[in-house]
Amino acid sequence: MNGASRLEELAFLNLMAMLRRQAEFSREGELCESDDAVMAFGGTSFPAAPFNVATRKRRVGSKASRWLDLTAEQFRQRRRRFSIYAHDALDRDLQQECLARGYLPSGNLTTMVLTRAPQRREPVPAVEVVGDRAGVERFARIAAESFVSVGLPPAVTRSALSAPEQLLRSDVRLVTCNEQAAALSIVHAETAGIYWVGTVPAARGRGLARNCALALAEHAFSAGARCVVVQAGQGLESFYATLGFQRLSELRLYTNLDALAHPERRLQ
Amino acid sequence: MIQLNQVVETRIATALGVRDIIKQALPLAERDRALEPEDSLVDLGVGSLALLTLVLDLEEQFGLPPSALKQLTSRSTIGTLIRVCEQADAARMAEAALAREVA
Repeated sequence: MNGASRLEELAFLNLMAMLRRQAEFSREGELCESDDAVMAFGGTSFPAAPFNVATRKRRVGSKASRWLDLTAEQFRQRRRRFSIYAHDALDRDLQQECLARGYLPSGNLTTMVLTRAPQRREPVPAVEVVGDRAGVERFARIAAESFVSVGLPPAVTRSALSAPEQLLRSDVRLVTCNEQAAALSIVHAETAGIYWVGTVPAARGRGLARNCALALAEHAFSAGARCVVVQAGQGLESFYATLGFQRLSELRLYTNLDALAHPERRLQ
Repeated sequence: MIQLNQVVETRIATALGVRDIIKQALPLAERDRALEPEDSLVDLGVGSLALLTLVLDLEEQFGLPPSALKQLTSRSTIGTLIRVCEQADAARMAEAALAREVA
């Protein structure tokens, strides 16, 4: 396995670790895992990743149509719609299957990696590490306010971050900056993944989210991480590139919008 | 019979309602811009989460059936979204009119 493939593998393992943790971050979250699938059922019916989502563990070996049948059945039993993470290059069969079934192509994420600690000329700005339940509540409040402007209902965010004891685990690190920006990292297999990076709308453009991401990356490398990964959403690739992250690959998202016999009430 | 003015009023209300929902899905900096029928969601900067919220809102507000939802993508234009919702409205109105006549 060459260097890039190994980094790709580490990024994918971290993504799966994030799905497992994200299911635990919600009081009503649930995880279903098999030899070839990780399925996360969040405490909300919102059909987006990472709340209600599935990904293939082994990208070869399981036939896409059968895999999707089994996955859809798990979500149907829970009266949920869901999204699929499909690797741009390795899950082509799954992408075709999703499109053939009329799943909505709901976006792309760019997997990016940082292999050495960021170099900075200026002193580290004030970034606070969250260490108690009150801090987790502040973190969730900042996240809810930050993500509502990109279309995530605040109730979904609050539900997704409703288990403080899970967010205070040793492999999870939460930081905030000026009580207006927040981010967290999840460490798994020599890799730290940075997720939930956001700034409240009124404080954007001051570099607060950047400070949070940098602090998490620096801490990860000082603690021995081999690399730091992010899944950059639309328009954020250049933001992470300025921090030194390099593009590895692309994840495509497909969302099942099939009718449900008795759908769960939507969280607003 | 469905009254002509009722159809026109419904179409106007639908177009305005769809535009309202789309505005909520736009990035903050774009919410004041004028929306043109040929603008696509992706060109307007509607991201992944906002796209899903938008689709679910349209489904809830206009009763879009799954077959209509499956026509939508991030490349859908404002005009397409309005047309899909108008079709759902028209189908509902026709159904209601038929039910009244049967009754």
